[in-house]
Amino acid sequence: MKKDSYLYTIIFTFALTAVFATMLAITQAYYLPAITENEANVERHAILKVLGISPGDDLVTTFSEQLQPALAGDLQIYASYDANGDVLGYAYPLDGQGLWGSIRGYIGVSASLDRLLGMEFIEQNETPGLGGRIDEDWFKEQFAGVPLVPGEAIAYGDGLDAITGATSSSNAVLNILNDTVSDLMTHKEVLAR
Amino acid sequence: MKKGAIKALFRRNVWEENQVLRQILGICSLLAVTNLVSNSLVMGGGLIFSVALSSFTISLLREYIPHRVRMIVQTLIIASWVILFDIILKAVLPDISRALGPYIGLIITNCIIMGRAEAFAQMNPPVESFFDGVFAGLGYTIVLVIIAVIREFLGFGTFFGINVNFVGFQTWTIMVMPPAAFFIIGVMIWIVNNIMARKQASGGGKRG
Repeated sequence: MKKDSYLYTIIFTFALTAVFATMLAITQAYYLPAITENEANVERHAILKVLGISPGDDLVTTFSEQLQPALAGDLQIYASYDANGDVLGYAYPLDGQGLWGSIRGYIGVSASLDRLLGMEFIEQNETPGLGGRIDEDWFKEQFAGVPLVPGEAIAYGDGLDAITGATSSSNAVLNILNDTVSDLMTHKEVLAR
Repeated sequence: MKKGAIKALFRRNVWEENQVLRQILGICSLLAVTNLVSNSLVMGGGLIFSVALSSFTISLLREYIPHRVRMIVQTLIIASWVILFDIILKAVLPDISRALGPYIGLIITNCIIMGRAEAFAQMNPPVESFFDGVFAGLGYTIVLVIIAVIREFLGFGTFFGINVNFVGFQTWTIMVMPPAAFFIIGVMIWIVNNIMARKQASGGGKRG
């Protein structure tokens, strides 16, 4: 068969594609459990952190011992409890549009839904070094303890700083946060008892 | 394969025909990742892995690849190795994978890999092609790290994430953004071109 014939070209291309696709499929299948576990751990870590719980030695055990999954509407949320079995706080998913892509994460709120306990991101695609700094601890930590007043949006200023040179990303985070909080308040009757 | 040949490949790819400084390839990713030294190192590692294995595979198949579809076949091979690297990184080093995000996948579009495939791998034996790829990637990585050290220091006052801003100067926001790499790479190309021109004038162009 001539190397430049149509038939050879077609067979060669198909065969090579099949070989490489198989190689990738096998690798993906082999590593899938590890990858899924890594992603789940990132999420567990974020949930524990927004509720102020240290992950301890074994993240998975801490997670299943300290938290109870619950439903708010059709959203999966997590509740943490004190020694008497009273709710200490909820981890509520945060999801919205950043400057460049979607931002996903969790916020922690107190049991009576009157103040933020923390905020963590699982996924964000902001510019590294600029908007990407929303994932730095100093930025996220300033949201812990912010009071949630019904009908009043959270805003920068008064102890809450936006990031210099990353106004759009900072504002995007604030908008997502306010949307999430107002969404959360629609479940107030179910959650705050 | 002779030892001298590897040395010659090293010299040529890292210095005389450095992919970034002499051939102006791979600039796009250079602008994106060089604001942190750690990201630059992983990006360089990813490129060395991908370009070496792609060159090796393309060279192995060079007698069998039909000429008219060779670019598409090269892209297929390159994409496969890069995706493989991405999967392994996600499974083994999830933190770094998260930090680099989409940049790893974008190695596929790095002009250096296609450049080495077209200029070297498709007419040289596999082992030579493999080393050609390693050294081309190494030349790229060295330039990346040099720029990253400058940008990270001036932009964040850190080195590898460790604070080295002892005098407390105001960090430059411009250094964090891609245009900064343009200024630095411009100066570097200017310096290297000057050295090369001077060498040629005095040494009479020993290497043609």
